[in-house]
Amino acid sequence: MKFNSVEFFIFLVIAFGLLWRFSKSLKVNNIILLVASYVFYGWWDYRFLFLMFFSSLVDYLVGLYLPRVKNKKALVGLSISVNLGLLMFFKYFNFFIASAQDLLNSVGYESEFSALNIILPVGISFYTFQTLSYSLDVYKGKLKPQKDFIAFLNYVSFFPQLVAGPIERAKAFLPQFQKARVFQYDQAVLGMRLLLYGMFKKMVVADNISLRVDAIFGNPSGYSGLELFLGMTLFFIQLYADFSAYTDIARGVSKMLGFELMRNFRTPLFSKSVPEFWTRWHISLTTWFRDYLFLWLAGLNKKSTLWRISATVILFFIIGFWHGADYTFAIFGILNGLYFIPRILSRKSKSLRKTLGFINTNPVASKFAMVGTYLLISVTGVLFRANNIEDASLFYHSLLNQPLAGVSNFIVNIIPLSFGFMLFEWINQHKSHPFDLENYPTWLRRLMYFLLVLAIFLFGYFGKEPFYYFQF
Amino acid sequence: MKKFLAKTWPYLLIGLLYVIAGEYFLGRLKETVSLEEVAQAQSTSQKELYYGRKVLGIALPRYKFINLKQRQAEILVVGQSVSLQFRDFLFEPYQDDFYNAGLMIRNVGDLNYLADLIERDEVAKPRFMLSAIDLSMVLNETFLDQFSLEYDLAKDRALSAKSHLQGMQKLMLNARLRAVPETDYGFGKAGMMGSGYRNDGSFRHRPEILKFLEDGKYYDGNLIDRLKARQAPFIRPFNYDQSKANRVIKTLNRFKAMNIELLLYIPPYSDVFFNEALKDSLFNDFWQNYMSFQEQLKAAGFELIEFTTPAGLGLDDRFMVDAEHPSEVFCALQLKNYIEKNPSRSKVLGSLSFQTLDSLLADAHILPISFLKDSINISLKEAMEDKAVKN
Repeated sequence: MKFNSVEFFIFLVIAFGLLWRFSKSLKVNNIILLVASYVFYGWWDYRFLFLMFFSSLVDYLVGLYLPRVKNKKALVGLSISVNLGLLMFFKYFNFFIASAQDLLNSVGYESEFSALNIILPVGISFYTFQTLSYSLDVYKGKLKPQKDFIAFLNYVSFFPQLVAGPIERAKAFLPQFQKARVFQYDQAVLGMRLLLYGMFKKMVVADNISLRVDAIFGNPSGYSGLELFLGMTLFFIQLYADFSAYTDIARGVSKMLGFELMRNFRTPLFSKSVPEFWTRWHISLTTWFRDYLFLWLAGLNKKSTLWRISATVILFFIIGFWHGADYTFAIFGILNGLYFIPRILSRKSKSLRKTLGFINTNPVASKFAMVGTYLLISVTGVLFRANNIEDASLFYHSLLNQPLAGVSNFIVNIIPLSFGFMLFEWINQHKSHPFDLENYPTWLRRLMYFLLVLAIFLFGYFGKEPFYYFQF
Repeated sequence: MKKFLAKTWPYLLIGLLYVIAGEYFLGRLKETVSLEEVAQAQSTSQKELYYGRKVLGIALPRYKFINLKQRQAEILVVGQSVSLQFRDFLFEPYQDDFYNAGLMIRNVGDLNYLADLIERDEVAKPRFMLSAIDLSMVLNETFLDQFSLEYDLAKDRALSAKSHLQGMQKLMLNARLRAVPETDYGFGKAGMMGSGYRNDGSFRHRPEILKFLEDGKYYDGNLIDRLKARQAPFIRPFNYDQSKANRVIKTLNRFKAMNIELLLYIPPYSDVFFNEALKDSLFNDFWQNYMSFQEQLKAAGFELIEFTTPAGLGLDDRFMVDAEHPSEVFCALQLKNYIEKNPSRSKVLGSLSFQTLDSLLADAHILPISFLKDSINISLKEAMEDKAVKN
């Protein structure tokens, strides 16, 4: 079920009503929530409910038996194997088959491996990471095993964040299923506000930009250099509006149901460097990789700068690859890792540290850094957006070789909306959320709600574009 | 909770009011009448009704398919847009058993699927079928190949909430679109204005007819410019594909094997366009192959209305709706001319009476692009007579 669908709104009204109607009994409430989550996920393809249940069951049992067995490593290894195995099979199997075939063909060996007709289960990259973090935390002794199976199933399948995160940690999230939930007016209002802003960002901003970006990336040789440049720079606004909209809706719905999810974005497009960008973009993923991979990897040789650079590149190669099974994502990741080099070198170079510090703090230099970072991310983002390496090459080639002048009205028309959206985010960037209207006068707040509802109906895209991160 | 619901409902009410207003506008324009209801009304009405949604989208393959299933037509016309001007009265005395399913079939895959449907008895087997075979059938690359009848039959937009919301947007942002036409000749905004698909499945080109009444001129529809700019359908490599041609012949033989009488139709071009296009090597190279395909069809024993331009029948380009679409008058003359000059093996073709056609052709009011045989004849005739008086 997609958030931007009529079905979801009907579903939400029913789920909201039932959950608060039966809020007195935690057990009943959790069962209703679990059914709701499984209906939500099964709406897309009921067959993959078994997969999610299997993944949950494995980690529940692993968690339960970890304190009781001697060979803890083997047990946690089982969890890692199952979760990454599922991910590898559903997400990467065909890619590895095709790559192996290309490799063998290139050395003159005619191979006949055939790809499988595999459907990628929506949200698998998210929920496997969530269950995996639980087992790893129990293994490390950071968390006590969860005995309540229903609570654990809810932790894995909680419908607002199931499909595209944020990737929650058991320590903060699991306890929320074990204490009685009381309706809080302020939280519910905040939730509605996030829901409304998320819908606006997705349907009005992201989807309308996406119509232009898709057209440009679909046929780069048919557009002028300026149009390609605009398409390239608009893409990350689209991606941010789309993905952060999903998080807002997820957080909003969670608040309405009495849950709290972590923040996944902190206006990342205003970052002054790529390292800063990654601390503000998809925070739940980057912190996951930091805690479960990077700290261990970098710790293997703490003194070596070269090793730290290598570890960072490996980390971002994996982050890139997490997004999708293609060379484009791998290169995207590696490039982002390389952008960390100045920051890593600055750890041992005083002058470089001073320069970076100046860029960060000087009012003028920091603005240039912001624009430069955005451009760098946009240029690299072509790899993220292109369907494959050939399409990415064609885009870069067209960008450099197409005549520069000429922009169609179709593309120009989207600039005021994109600019207006970014301006609004800029003005509100230091608030807990860009749509935090607490300090606004009541009349202005209500007017804004009214305008947003109207804008969604009048300018929203009702073609039910899936959220961009659903494909990951 | 009560406070929360009390503060929330005004915003939900805005949405609800918007939807109510939108549904009202959609309903007023008869855009929300389902395809089943449209087909039912068109198949039983004595009056000519037009189907033309301008807001919700026409869902043409499904519309034609529903009609096809309902009508159980004995005389069937299939093909692309060039086949849409063959009308029921041309096939007198079988006019009540006629249906023009033009534009439901857009490529050889669709044609094959139709053969499957007939074989599986999902569609009644016709006695006679006129099939237009335009150049897209044998082009190696054409955008028409991305369509598939098998998958396009999925949904009627009148029954989709998403389409309604999209339609409401268009109506709210466009007052001209929202305005109800003074006329009411059918279903959907265009249909109400008398533009769209007639009861027999053929298409009424209302704007072109009105334009013709105004100035009596031929318009080519920018086809020459499209050829020069290598735009659709003349997108490179624009090559003839013999394997596709073989598939067409194989599929047509399936219909033959089902004892369906077949008449193939190679659609015309206007003289102005065709003479210009032959000077273009891209077009010319393809054309030689396309004409050899026409010979292959004849050699394979298919009855065929061959390619011609209006001049081939002693007419001029005013008999074309545009450079690539023949008018209903031109189609009628081509059919009549074929039967008069070719001793046909088809029982259906051999028994056509052409009574209505002959009387229409004898009518002084006939236009080169229209017989004006429609529900809205009178106003058009009056307009033309008015023009004649002025002249």
